[in-house]
Amino acid sequence: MLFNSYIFILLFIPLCLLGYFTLNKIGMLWANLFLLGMSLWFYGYFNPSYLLIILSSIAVNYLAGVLIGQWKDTGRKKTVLILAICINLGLLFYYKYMDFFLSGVNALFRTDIGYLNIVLPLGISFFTFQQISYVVDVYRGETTACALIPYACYVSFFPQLVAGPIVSHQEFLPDFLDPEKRKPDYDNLLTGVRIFSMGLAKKVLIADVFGKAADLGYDNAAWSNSFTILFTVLAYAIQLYFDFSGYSDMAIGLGRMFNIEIPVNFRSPYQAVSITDFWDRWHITLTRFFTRYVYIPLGGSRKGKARTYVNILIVFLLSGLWHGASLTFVFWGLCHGILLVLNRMFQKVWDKVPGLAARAVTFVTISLLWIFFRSPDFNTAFLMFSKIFRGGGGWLPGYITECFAIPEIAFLFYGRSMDVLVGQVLTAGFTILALGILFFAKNNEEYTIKRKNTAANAFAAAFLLIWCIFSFEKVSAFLYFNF
Amino acid sequence: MTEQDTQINQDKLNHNVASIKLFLLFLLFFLLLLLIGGGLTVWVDPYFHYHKPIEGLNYNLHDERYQNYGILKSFDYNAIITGTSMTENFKPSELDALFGVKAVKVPFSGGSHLEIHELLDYGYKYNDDIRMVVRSVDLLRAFDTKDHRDYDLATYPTYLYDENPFNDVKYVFNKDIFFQETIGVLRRTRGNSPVTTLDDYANWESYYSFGPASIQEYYSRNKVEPTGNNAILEEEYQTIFENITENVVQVAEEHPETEFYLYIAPYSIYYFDYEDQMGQLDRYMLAERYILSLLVGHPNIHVFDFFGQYDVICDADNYRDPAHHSERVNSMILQWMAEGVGELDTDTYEDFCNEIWEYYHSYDYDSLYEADGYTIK
Repeated sequence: MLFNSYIFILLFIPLCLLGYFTLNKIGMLWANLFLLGMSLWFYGYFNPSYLLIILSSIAVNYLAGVLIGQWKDTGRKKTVLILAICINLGLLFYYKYMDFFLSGVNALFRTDIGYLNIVLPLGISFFTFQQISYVVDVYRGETTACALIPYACYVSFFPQLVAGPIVSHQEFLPDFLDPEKRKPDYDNLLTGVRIFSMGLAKKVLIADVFGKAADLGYDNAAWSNSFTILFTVLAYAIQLYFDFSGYSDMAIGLGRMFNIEIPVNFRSPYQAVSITDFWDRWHITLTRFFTRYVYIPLGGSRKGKARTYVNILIVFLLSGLWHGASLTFVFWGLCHGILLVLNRMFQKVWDKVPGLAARAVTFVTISLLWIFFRSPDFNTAFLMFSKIFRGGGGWLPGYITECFAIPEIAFLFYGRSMDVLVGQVLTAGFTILALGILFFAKNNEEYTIKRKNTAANAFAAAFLLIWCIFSFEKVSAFLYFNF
Repeated sequence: MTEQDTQINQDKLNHNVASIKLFLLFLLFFLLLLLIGGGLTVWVDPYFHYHKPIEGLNYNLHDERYQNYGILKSFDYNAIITGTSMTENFKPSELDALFGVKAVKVPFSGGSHLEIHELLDYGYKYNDDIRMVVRSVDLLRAFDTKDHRDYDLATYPTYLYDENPFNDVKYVFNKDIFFQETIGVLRRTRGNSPVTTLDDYANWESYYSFGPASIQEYYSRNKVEPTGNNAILEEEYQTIFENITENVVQVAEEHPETEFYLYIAPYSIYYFDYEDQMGQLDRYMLAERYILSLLVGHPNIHVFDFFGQYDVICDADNYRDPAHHSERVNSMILQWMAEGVGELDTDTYEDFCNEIWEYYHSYDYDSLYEADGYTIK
């Protein structure tokens, strides 16, 4: 199920909140079971067969946690830990990286092994990492193994299940097990709704519009001019942030409705003044995971500069691979790793660059690197780069500007034709607005949480929510006057 | 409990009450906006999913895959004109006058036999007084499988095609529909825009020019690459059989109370030139013969083939491309149907096929490009 769907907003969420808080009056166990059932419905909505994967994964990690927690013998504990990590990574490898691996084998050994064409189960990257962190923390003694149902609720908790943030059990379980937080808090409910509606608007009203333009820009890259390609790169940078952070905001808002605090995952990342700063603001919970469970165990920055740089590169290669099973993602991660190392090496020089210039350079660098992130292969990425530097201007093509002629705008232009100039102005207006939010606006959580719930805020949230709901479905254009 | 504690508890209580009130206010706003936005679309109902057009409102009939089902569900009628884009220029009012019926037109541009079959089935669910159906059978659809559609089913507004009230959210809470259709109807009404009649609906006559120059914009001989496939394989006969019997004949058999007027859509002579250039003229004419054999012999099916109307077919001014004819020809078709011109039965269809086979195989196609200063392209 998607957050941006009719069923989720009009049926699932009201039912879930009502059932959860009502059943809590009877007993926490019933409420937990209900929440677990709802989360599994959410997860299995598109493909029920994947329920088996998540349930097996939960069972294995729960068992590992129990065994590690019970045993005193460090050797046995370590064996279980390694086994659990291997199972987790094996599952991820099979479902996410098998075809990537086979393509590597085929290329290296000139073989022709058939691909498995496995459809990636939703959220597998998230719940795998989440559970690795749990088992490792139990092993380290930083937490104790918890009961099965709360654990299953934690892993499968639908707000964060498919697109993060990667919530740690230390963040989730204390809130979840607190009897005081099992009653509806109407303040939290409304704040949650406000954060959710802002996140939904980021996704539906902004990201999807720029996403359509970015897709068309990439599809038509071969015959586009530099200006169009640059706009495409910008559109994708805008889409990616609003989409991903929108999802995180929605998760945070939903968590709050259940009185559970989900950590902030994006803190105005395009306002970063360096690549290091960017990674402190972008997908914060992923960076946190890699820092805790990869960077620090590798020695972090404690073993000299050279080792620190190597550790950073390892983390970012893995981060690239985590984002997608393709060499373009690995390369993207590597580029970020290198830039981070350079940033560290020349920190003092970089610090002297004026804030606005540093911010601009960082944004441009990140946006250009997204080309590797978005391109299906290196050829497309290189085509995009070559087009950028080949020159050529002119108006943006109609297929791009039409993306911004949303029905609301068409409504305002009723009876008047939207000519080329109007299309360009409209696109520029949208882009300036989006960039204004990116560069100067406060973060959603910061903005929403710090403002008290008022009647005006409640109305704004209701209006935004309705606007988004009305934007879920589009009217398809069939090619008429044709056979 | 101290006075201070009591005060704190009282503050908490006040805060809780205020929070509840605000949350309820949010719910009220939300439901109110949902009701106003959705309610307006339900009331206007631009796709006629819930009711017939409201008297006095100016509806815009223009979107076949969104409106055809609603027209069949909600309008008052006892005759249907349907088919592909070849039927878009029909005027139901002419059918009414000729046959004494009350007709609606529900064509599908790019429609397959399956789509039209599904549409008719839907019409019968809501109307048990359908006396007449006029339907084109396109030769260019001859080799489609029985499950063929031109477009991906996921892009169809199937929520308008069923009785599931839950998926209606896609219709009722949809800003494309809200702004363009619902508000559009209200604006048209206020602005006294011209009313779209069923005669106007989907009619493309005024958007195109007709004649040899127009036809050659769509078809150039030098772009044709012969297929070298001029025969029909056994499995292709089976495909034709399944498609015609399941999607065309079956609905007529299920409704003996309705007279079906099925006709092979009359493409222009340029179409035959195209097939000739492709080296598949035999193939399509054999398919036509086979289709006719499957259509004739049913008591409530009137079968027409207008490929014998050579004057019309060979006059390029009747066509905008090799296949699509002007509304003048649509009017003629209805007239011919009323007079029984071009009607075939089990005894006559083979002779007819032999006659047109001879005609289109011996036609001097090069002459098409010599007249009026047009050279062979």
